[in-house]
Amino acid sequence: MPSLRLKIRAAALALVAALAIGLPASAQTFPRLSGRVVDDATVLDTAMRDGIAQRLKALEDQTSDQVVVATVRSLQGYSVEDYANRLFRAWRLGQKDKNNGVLLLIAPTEHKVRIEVGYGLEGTLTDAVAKLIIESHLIPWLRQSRYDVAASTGVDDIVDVLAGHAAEWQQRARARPSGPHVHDVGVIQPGSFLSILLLVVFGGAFLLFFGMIGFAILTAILRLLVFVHLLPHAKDRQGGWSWLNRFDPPVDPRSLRRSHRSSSSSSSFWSASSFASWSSSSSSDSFSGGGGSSGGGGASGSW
Amino acid sequence: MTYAVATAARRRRFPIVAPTLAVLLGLLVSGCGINRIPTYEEQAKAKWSEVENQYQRRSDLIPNLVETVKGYAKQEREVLEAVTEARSRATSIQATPDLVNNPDAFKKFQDAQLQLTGALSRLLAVSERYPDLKSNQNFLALQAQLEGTENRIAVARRDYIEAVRLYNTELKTYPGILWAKLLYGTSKPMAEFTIAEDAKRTPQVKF
Repeated sequence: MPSLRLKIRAAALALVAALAIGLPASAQTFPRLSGRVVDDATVLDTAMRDGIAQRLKALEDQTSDQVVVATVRSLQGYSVEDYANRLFRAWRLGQKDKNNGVLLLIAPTEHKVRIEVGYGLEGTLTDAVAKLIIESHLIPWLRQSRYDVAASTGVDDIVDVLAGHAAEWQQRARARPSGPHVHDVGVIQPGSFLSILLLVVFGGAFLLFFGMIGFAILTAILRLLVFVHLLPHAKDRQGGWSWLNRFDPPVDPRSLRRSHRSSSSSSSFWSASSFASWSSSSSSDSFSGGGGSSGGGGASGSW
Repeated sequence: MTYAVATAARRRRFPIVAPTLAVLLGLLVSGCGINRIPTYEEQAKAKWSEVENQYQRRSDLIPNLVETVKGYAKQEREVLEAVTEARSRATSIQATPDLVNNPDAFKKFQDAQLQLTGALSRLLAVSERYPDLKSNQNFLALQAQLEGTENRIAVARRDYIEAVRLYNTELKTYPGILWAKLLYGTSKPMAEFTIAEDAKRTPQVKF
């Protein structure tokens, strides 16, 4: 059977090739979003960093806009526009329904800076305004390697624009309105009778499905509680507890053992998962992105 | 009597049989990917509209830009005309959603836009020679918008390429290939961009 062996070899080759192609796609790594100021290149001093973070928190409390400052050691061979957009999306800056995030990215190694603006703020912090901020306020400081002053000034400007002085800034950037405004185009779903019917059928099936699971879990929990005497056993039940009878295991002793085992295993599953969710929620009190995205709005500069 | 025994047996087996059936039904509905082809198709189409939007936006910026440059650099008539011409050629191609299913028209559209990109970057390059133009606020604003738009085009194209990759892969792999044959006979693979990486770069402008 040479053909079969050939096929196997071809399949193995294809697998190796797929792995080789898949590797570079996952090779790009981003710094962790550890706060509102991510100083990966370690060019900002601590006091400045805290001051900036405080101003940005105040802005988010006021307007829900998420602004993040990042300095990176390397752009990893990407252009600053490309890198900023990918980083913005990886961090999911801005609220999910508003896409109101802004990323101020400084790459000291490559001498590049960019203000990346989420979809929702493109009309407020326009490209021209972002360019004006970069060219007139950031570049002069960046040329002197004063990254902390540049970051602070940039944040002040961005906060000023977002907190309600956008018109003033646009006047200064003198961006003449040109052409119709471009809107996002959503996915259009055809609403027909058939799709509603399908929705009802499938929705019903899903409700049934999860209802069954819920019922099974409830049964397991109640049986466990009865088993550990937190709830009355079948023979001790008075009138008010008669509803418990329907959750009782069948009286066959073999199935009784089985149900005990299943209930205890499901209860351990529950405690494990609740512990996991508790521990993760206790450690996630730091800042995180709200789920927003960017389509490449903003401006960049170099020094 | 037999009936009572049968119902009792059924009742005892019910807690096992019903969840099993429910699980199978759930898997059948959700795990088979019956909705994936139309979902990916709509997503790719939406991404394509975004690409078109951004090209349109660029096109809208151009008359204003040409006028501004003309005020300072009349002698660059050739470059200015090249931009205007490339723009009219690019806008003459009707950018319809079904463009993505027509490789020839897609290529024509793409070539026209690429030509416009080239003409624009030449215009911005020659603008460098005119200090008065370079310090003109309106020109600076337009330039920033144009750069931003070029970048948005790049992002929109990247998103479109990714969406098409997902969709085309779904059409060609199991189990999508089964659904494509059974239900979605009209869903065809979409065209992808085939431009060299360097041609996609935004026009670089030094200050």
